[in-house]
Amino acid sequence: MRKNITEEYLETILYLTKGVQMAKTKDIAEAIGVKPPSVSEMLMKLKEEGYVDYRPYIGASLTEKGRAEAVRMERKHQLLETFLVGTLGVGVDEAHDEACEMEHTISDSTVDRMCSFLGHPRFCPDDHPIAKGECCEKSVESVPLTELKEGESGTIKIVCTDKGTRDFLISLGFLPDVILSIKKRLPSNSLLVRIKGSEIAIGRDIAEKIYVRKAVA
Amino acid sequence: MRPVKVALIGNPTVGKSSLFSRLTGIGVIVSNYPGTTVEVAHGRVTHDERTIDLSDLPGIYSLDTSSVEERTVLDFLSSERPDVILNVVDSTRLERNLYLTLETLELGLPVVIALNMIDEARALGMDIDDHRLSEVLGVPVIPTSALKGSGLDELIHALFHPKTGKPRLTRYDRHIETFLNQLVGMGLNIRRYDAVKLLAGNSDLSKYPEGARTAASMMRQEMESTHNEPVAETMAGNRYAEAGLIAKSVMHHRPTAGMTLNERLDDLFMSPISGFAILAITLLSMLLIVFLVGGFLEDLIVNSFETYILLPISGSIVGHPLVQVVVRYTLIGIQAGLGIVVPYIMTFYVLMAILENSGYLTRAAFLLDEIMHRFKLHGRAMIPLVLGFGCSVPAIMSTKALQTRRERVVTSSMVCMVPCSARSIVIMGLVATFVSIWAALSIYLLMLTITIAMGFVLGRVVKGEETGFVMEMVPLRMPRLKDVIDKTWMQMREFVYIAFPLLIIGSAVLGVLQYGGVLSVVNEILAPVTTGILGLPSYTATALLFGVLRKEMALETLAVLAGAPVAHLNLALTGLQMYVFAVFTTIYMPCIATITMLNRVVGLKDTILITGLTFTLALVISGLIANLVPLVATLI
Repeated sequence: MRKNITEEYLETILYLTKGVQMAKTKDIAEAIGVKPPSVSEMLMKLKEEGYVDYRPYIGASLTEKGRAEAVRMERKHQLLETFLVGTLGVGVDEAHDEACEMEHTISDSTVDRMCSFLGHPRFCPDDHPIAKGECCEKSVESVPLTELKEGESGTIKIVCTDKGTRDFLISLGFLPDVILSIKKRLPSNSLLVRIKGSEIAIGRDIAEKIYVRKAVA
Repeated sequence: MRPVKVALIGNPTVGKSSLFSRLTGIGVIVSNYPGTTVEVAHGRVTHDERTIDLSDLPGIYSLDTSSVEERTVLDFLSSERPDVILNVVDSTRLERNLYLTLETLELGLPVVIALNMIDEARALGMDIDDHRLSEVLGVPVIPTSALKGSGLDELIHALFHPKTGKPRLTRYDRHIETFLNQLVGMGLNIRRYDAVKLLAGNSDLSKYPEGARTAASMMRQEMESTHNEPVAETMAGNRYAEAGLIAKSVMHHRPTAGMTLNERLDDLFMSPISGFAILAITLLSMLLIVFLVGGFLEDLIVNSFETYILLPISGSIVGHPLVQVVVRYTLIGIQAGLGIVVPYIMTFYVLMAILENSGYLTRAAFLLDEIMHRFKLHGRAMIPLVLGFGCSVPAIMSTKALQTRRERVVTSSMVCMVPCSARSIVIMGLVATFVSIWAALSIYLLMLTITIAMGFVLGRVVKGEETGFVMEMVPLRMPRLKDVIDKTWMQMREFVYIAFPLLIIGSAVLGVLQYGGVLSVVNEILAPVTTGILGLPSYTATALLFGVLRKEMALETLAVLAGAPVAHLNLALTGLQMYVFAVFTTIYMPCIATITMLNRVVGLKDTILITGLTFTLALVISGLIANLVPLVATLI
């Protein structure tokens, strides 16, 4: 529970310090829904733990460490929201509330997978930019397999299909860092791929979910 | 001495079935299309008074449990406990094949490797050092060519004397190895293979002790948090890396200069424009060849049977009228069987065998993926539909290779609408012969439309998971005459042994029933449908009933009942009646054998639904044709 509170505070301060130097104690208290004295007490603790710079009567700002933590939480929140609204069709307000709860329990690796599943979205449902995670950095220079032209080759980065297909693809050698080349390409974007010494035909819908980094010709 | 139990394991289309049939002399269907072997075939070889029991298992890419084939193989391994595993490896695709080999070695059973298609690899400029490979893997490696039959004696010898040395085990990531050793060392009777399965955690682990499962899942979590990818994936990566290293160390590849003939052909087959043109030409010419060659053979057989057997015998029988009727009906039955079943079905299967074994069928599936996509199916579902032109039974059986139940239901329903060779016999024998070839083609067009409409509707109505198209493209190969003949014979066998006697007995029984007046009662009862809705003579009811047994029997029975040889049916029916009869026969409920197979693949409920649907469709469509055509004719 304590961890949740820390995370909640950091996120709030991050939100309140957008465009300004310091977040006022009063504003923090209002945003979280507690009395200012409790906020002061909590901020002192956060200061001890090295998350915030806190000057009584002026306000608080995030340290490097606090900022990283807050950004991580915000990203989780936004990705959850995007998933709930965009993929599951949950209402925006409901999604916001539920994301607030889930962000504290979901693991980093699951969020990264959710991020890959969503195709590394840049904006959340209310159009705020989502911070890039490690998984996004990995995929920045990667493109769906369907972007490759006939004769081009690339290195597999991420395979984002359902489990059954993914297992089958893995047994065929579609693993991260494996090199493949496009042997044929039909107008429908179905591809004939050369990989691990044999040729595999892949339909468009699956090819779109295999991300590769283009090899420089 | 107890027979040695040997299981053939290997990737799809590496020649397991060829090798199996070479070794045992037992015909199994040899194919160049992934997923042809869905059921296990058994055979026996005796050599120097010792016996080997061979089992041909479906082709798989790994020993996971995610596909039907993989489950079949694993179930077989755990229930049958083979003494030796014969791992068949395609020399031309060594790296990919070694992945499964490495997994197989982990099983801890004696393994013998058949380095198959060694001659093809050599022709491609690949030089594989089999001695070195044997040293590296720690198991016997025998170069074979199922095609030429070379290396078989050595292989049998190796199967009797599998080396029980130390096979090469994949060296996984350092952390994984530590965990594997910990799991094995837990004292819970866990072998390395079990430890690998436990740690990978992507299969059913319920048979392992609770403690081991908990430990493995904790290890898995730890691995995943440091490596940022599922353990199973790390392990697969390790295995592939190892396979790549081994392949590189034993193989010298001197690529032949320029494109080989096969590569040139492949380029034509799969380039957008030429590819679709060739596909259209292939499918059309296939239908035409079946019509023309089948028609030619039919004339030949029917006429000579009539001149040399039917007329002389029926002219010379004397005795009780019942005997006369029975003999006459039996002969007509034989004539119909020989004259109709053999020519069309044989021609179709010969062509199909050529397409399949040459590897063209996989190219066709690739090209058609986009079209199948519109039915929310994928290219793989095309194959059962093409097979359906031969016989619905193997076609529906082949839908087992599809991944989801939804695909199986939709595809099976569509297969039921594809005119199989038996239905083609009715269309050809009745409509093409007596009305016109164009009228016959229009029925095919009608069926094509119905099939497409059905796929379109069912693809949206039937709920379930949708999967995409992934399929290994098999190398183009020159189909071997013997395989083609064997395969044709094996598929014909069913007709010859089961359909033919049924047909002859059916005809004789029909003769007796006719004589005893039973048929007219049945016909009376069904007359409201046959005569009322479809405008057909009432005796067609009997023909349609027999058609449920086998579709082509509808035509044969019709001939018998009309009291005319097949060659003179036009004296008994009008063109429109023949057309309606053919359409109705083509659509109305699948034959008994198909229904049985449907029940096995999609279950009773859907079988009943499909059967009901087809019956309704048949009534509506042929009813419409029967009633609208005369109407339109009078208007014009």
